[in-house]
Amino acid sequence: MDYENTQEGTLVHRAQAGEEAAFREIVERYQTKVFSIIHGIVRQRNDVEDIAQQVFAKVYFSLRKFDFRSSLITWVYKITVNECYDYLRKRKVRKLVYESDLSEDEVRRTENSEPAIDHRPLADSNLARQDYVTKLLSKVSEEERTLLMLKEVEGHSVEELAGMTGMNENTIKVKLFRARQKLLKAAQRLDRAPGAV
Amino acid sequence: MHQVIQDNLEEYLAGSLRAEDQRQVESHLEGCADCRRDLASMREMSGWLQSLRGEQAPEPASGFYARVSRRIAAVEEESSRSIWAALLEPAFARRVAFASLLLLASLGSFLVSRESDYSQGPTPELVLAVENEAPSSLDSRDHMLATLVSYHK
Repeated sequence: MDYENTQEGTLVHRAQAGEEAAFREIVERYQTKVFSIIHGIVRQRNDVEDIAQQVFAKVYFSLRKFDFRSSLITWVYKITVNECYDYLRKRKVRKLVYESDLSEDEVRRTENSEPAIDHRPLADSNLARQDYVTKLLSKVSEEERTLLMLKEVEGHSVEELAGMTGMNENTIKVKLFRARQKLLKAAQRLDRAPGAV
Repeated sequence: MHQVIQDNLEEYLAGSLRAEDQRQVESHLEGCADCRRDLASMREMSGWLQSLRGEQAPEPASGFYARVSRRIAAVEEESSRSIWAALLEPAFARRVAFASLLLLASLGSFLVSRESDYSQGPTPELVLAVENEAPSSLDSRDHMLATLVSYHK
């Protein structure tokens, strides 16, 4: 059945027509998923709700542009991942601005007060790995990032991805392959120049 | 990476290769060190990506939808305020005033140039030509009388 004519497609049409109850249903249907995606990327519990609110505000304002080429969850997923990377970018800029206001001694003290990734206890090695992967993912395009995350983090098959995105399976495979190659290249660059990312 | 590995990469990494494809991949890997090395890197990267799988993500607190609605309303209010702010901004007002003056000046000069064209009036030659072409008032009176007579008959 054509996605536009499914139950969810009808729900989206109602929300596009301005029916508040339909938009509320969309929020309630996907809020847990959105929280989980955000937490997986930014891992700042305090900021998860704020980013999630921003995601759904964007969904609200862009819903009229949703053209049913992909499923709603794929679209929401993409907005969520982009929002997370926006947040990480802004956080990085804020940190740079903050550090530029400090003297060299203050910067050194601040850096020493942060737990260095290499010296964290073993229990935190997963966090370091997550940080590293998040940085690597910032080196590929939005589409590649979304596909990789849907495949590896959400565990969808190529067949499911084809259904969700409206692309054929071979296209998905080629895109994923290129994205994986880019990640490996980014990892090589990162190893050559530690702290460059 | 050779095509046979590339074609089966996603299923290989997900551990969902069919037995026949699995044999084909393994047979190729036995004789291709490059593919073995590339595949090992891809598998390691896949494991790293899977480390992002959500663990104990916070649940949305009650009233989340209400807070989303408030944010939407705030954004709408902000955007309408920014439109007014842009309109009322002194620099924008100055630009509008300048553009209006420019428009008035152009309109005025256009009207003045039209007036000066008409003030000279038609040339004597033009007047004579019009008079020659138009039927004289006498002729038209005769024509009218003839029409009335024929109508009366």
